[in-house]
Amino acid sequence: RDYDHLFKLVLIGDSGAGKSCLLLRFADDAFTESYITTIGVDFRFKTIPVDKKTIKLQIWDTAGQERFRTITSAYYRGADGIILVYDICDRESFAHVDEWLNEVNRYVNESTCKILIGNKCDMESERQVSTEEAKKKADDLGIAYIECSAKEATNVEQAFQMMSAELIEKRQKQGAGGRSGPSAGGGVGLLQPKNREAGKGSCGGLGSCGGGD
Amino acid sequence: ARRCRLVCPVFRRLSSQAAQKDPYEGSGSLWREAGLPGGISQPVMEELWRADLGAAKRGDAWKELLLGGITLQQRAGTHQDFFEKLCNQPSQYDSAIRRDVNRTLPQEELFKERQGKGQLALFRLLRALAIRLWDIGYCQSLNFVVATLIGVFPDDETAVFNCALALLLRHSLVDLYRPKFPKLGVVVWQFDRIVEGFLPKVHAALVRHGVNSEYYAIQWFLTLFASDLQQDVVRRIWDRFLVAGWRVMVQVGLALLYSVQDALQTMDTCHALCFLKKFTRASHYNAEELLDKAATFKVLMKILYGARRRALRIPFEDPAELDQAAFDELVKAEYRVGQFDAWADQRRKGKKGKGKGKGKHRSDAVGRFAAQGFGAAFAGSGSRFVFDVSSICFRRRNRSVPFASESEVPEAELDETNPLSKAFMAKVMDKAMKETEADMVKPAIELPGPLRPPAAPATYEALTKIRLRVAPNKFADLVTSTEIEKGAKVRAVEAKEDEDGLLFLRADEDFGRGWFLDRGIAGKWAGKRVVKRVAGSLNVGKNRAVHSLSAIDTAEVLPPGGDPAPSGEEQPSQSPAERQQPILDLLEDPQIREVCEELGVSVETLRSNPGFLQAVARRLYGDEVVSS
Repeated sequence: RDYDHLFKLVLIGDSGAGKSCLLLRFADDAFTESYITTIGVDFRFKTIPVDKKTIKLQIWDTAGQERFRTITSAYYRGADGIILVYDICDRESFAHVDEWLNEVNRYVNESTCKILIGNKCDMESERQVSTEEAKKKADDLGIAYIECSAKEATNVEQAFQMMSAELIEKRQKQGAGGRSGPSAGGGVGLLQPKNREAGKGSCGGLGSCGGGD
Repeated sequence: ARRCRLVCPVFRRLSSQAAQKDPYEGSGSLWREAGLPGGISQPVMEELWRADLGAAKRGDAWKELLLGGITLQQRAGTHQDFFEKLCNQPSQYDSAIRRDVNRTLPQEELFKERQGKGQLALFRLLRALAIRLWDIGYCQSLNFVVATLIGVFPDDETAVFNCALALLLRHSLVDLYRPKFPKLGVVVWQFDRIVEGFLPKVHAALVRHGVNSEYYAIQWFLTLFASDLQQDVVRRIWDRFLVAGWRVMVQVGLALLYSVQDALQTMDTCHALCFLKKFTRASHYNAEELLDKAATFKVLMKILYGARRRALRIPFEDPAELDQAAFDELVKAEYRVGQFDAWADQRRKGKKGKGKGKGKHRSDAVGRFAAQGFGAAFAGSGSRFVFDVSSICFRRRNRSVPFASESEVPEAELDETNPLSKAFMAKVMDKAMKETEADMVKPAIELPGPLRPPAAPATYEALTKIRLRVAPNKFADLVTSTEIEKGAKVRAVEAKEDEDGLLFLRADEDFGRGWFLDRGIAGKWAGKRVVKRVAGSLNVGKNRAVHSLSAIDTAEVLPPGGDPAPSGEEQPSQSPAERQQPILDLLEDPQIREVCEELGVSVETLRSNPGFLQAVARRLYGDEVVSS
């Protein structure tokens, strides 16, 4: 095995918030103006060093349009971390943060690592959501907050580093025996029979599921 | 379609349901009623199938295939107005659409420029469609579909609009995009089963990585490959899709997976997942090579059917989580599909036996029936459980389309392991059927079988000379006084099935009320029907009771000398006491009391013996008055 820990992260947030661009920046260190609408889900992985450990991140980039939640909600399952992205130039996408969290909490453990990212912080002149407001929101929700720019590569790496550090800490707390994350693709396949009970309502199931199998 | 309407009362019922529930207030059925264009000239289809026709010719062919046989002048004046009116109305999806127009086909010259010609057209069209198809509104992935159409008709937005509507409504694609993606689940599941059958190596790898086509192929199906392949390839795929239907999409999907099947074997899960999402965009395919490869996968309608039907058993959500009403709805829907499929199968078989001339019309009817009756009924009701019946239409058309490469495989290469062989396909189907039986939970609710009119009362025509029996029993004596001549019409007034399932029919007075079997039991007629039902004979003559529960007095409706009770179940729902009441009332008559005294019978004895009382009354008042 070429890594110490494997984590599954899921990018969520309104359509157009810049999830795919963040991922492109993080995974390939690139930016493009000519990207396309994500349909369903996209997928990248990257291995990064964190605290002398090698971490492999599996990142699921989901479609943002509300109606695609029927499909994408299946991908939340088994996630170690959720990255919630909004566009600082679009107040509406910020207003939907609560909604997204509610949605995601239906499928994942309350204790799953979450982070709020305000994207497009290079476009200061068009800003609609202040840093203070967003920070306060994140504090209220009890999750970390960071502002990024996929275009200028500001804080993107840091955001993922932050998340990974937190995940490692959590995993080590859970016990040294914890293996790498969920088996890859465990959450795929809406149409395959799966343990619905674990995914719904009850909180305990998934964390241990990921570590134990 | 008209013929079909006459043939099938179920169709009438369903289509009237659909008309009621048409979410587009009748304008949706305009498209559906037109069905798929029928009279497309063979050369157009063949040319389109074979080669890239180039921009101008392709546009004409697509228009003919998509809009053929439909006039769009019905509403809102000319359809030019219609589109222009819609595209200038604000819609709640405007911001969503605006976000996506510059994220659509950015590699294309036409859509590259921000606020350029292509992007503006795309915005207007998506907005008009969102208003027109209000229950879908704007769904991401429609941007790619519409953009592809704009690429074909760059200077004619009205044509794009109409073609987009035709593509969605006439080809039953709307349900791919409706909220909750009702058809996507079916399509994905279907594709998985087909991959399993045709590309076992790929399937094994996918299973190992824990993914199915829901993960990697959603955008293939939702955008009809427009987001994943080069536009020139996409246009060629659509050329064939317009000719041969959904199976082309499935075949192309298979061809794409086939091209990477070896690469997939060596990858670990992370790489494989990544790769599956990217490989179509990363490679440049030669359109013709891809299509040729695609055509080598014999995705027969039978297979699509089987997979579709099985897919329907698994809705997008776990059946266990559906509420009872939704679940019942699912079971019913599936049941109807089953009935329909059985019916279509029967028609197909019938066609083979009866030669080509007749069969052709039949299969037309099947296609029309499918596209309109079922598709419309369920799509129209907004049901989540929608199926792809439009594909049946293509069966008819496929017959004349040369799937050259399919038939070019030499027999010698065909064996059980070759996915092209009949033996292999049979194995797949067999496995599928077994799985079906094993997996399937019996429907929780029992539905009555296909509607069949009661065997009697009805009129039959004898196909041969038939002898009558005195009782509904095959050992009963034969009636010697009369027999039914070949070609004679006989009215059956009663039907009875014996324990062996033999159906006995009772003739009316014309044949001495004797019994006869509807099938022969010996000789060359053994097991064959000896009578043919005369169409429309369920309705009895003017002077007879139509309903067994009708309130009409039995004495008036029975033919003279007839049996007062045709069968026990058909009696008016009166208790014996109620029926006897009129007779018992007679006891109050002083005349009766007089007779009783004369005969030395007490009134109490009569009260406890109404049969006797009846006889007495008959004597007294005459037959006409006392009936039962």
